[in-house]
Amino acid sequence: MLERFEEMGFDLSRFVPALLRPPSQAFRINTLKGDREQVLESLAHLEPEPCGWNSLVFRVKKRLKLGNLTEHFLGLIYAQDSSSTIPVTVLDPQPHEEILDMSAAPGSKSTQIAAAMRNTGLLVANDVSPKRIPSLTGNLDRSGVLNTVVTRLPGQAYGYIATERFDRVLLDAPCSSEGTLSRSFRTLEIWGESAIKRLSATQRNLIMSAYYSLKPGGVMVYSTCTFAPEENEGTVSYLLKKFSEAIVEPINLEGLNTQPGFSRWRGEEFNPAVKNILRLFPHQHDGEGFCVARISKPN
Amino acid sequence: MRSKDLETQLIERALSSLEERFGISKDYFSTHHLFARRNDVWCCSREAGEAEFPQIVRRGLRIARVFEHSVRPTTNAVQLFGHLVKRNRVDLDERETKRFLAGQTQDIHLPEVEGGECVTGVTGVISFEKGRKPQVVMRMPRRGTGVTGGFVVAFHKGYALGIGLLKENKLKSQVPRSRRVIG
Ligand SMILES: C[S@@+](CC[C@H](N)C(=O)[O-])C[C@H]1O[C@@H](n2cnc3c(N)ncnc32)[C@H](O)[C@@H]1O
Repeated sequence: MLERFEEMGFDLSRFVPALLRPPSQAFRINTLKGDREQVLESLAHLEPEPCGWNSLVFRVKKRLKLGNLTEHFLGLIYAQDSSSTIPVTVLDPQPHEEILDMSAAPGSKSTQIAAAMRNTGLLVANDVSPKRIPSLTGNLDRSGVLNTVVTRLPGQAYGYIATERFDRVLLDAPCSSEGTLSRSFRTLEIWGESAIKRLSATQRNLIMSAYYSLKPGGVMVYSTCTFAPEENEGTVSYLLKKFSEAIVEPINLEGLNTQPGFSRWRGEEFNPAVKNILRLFPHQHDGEGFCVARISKPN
Repeated sequence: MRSKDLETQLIERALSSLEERFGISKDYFSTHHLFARRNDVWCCSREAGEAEFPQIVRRGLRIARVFEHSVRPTTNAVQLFGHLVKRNRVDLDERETKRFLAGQTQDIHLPEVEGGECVTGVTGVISFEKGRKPQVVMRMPRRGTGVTGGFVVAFHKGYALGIGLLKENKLKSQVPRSRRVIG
């Protein structure tokens, strides 16, 4: 792993300690259940610090279990790493739309989408894993989500069964999770070159399916919590090879120290448009490592 | 009876009960899609109710379970619709809330009038000074509103926590095991 990070050009003496240090905890206010100002007032003792890119997301420096707070029980807040709130912020869901969250469990992003849609329209929250569905439905319940249909399908199916149906699609893809090492070393058990290869093959199928299921004029977000270029720029480049009309849009979010996508990796030149991918590294940003691309389908 | 009729009946019973016992108007649900599965009534957006996909695990939120002689709203539903509750609400203090979230049964002293109709408790301390109009010098939180024995909605600081079963001054939390907060 370390050799790969070095190949990516990271200064390991800064990058590795930051990767292993847990970032500040964060929460998102769930506007389906509570009013922002009232929730902030009741959580004032935590001294929450706003994150510039989303007025509902706050970091907490104090160490305590957010999951034990009454506000959490009530579904007024959703405890979530600050980076993980970025894909939905970039997706920008609107009320009354039809939206697909292709790999949704445990539901951090589905609940955020439903809140942005104000519980209207249709959100399809899909995940292939029967084991992970209960955590998804549990979080939807706690968050008071009414506009959701939960399905258990391989995301690859959506391109066929719902071709050009959705206004927006989120593909928060299964990945090698290098960016979440501070949370769990379990990543190391499955991590390896062959896992990255296998995951990037799945991601390519999923991103194609996501794009097929998008209406002309629609927007999708592709995100991972890993650094591997094969799983980020590689996957998006693959889509652009198949659909040259797809547009990777620039992302501008306030208060974030981001890096552009890599232009090449191990001899492979990526499509120049992948420079618009947003990358977050733990030594530059108080949050887990993340990678986000906003892709639109022209009319 | 056709199963569609049974479903309509079940939904009707649930909505009537929410209206009668808690004052939640049936109109609130008119913009939603309601359906029943076995004895449970579910609620979702219109669009989610109409969408067809293979392998649907569920739609929306379960709002109530209909029993032979009663209807119990779910914790998730009252947390969402709690602001609409007008009757059978019981306010809990910090310690009582902790016990409630842990799923415990606790003594709760609501002055009750015989026959079940409720008393809402003292709402203030009034001072009577010579030559002055009586004045409220200290407000007290209302302990409960329109409370009779049976299912009630427990509140804390204005937020609906969930459903409790009130019987002879004992409040039995109905918070499901998976949602309990212990410690
Ligand atoms: C990074 S996690 C998603 C996290 C989720 N979006 C959230 O924010 O809570 C990736 C998910 O992809 C699911 N998954 C893996 N392969 C899949 C496939 N072929 N189709 C759909 N989901 C898949 C996994 O079960 C896992 O829950």
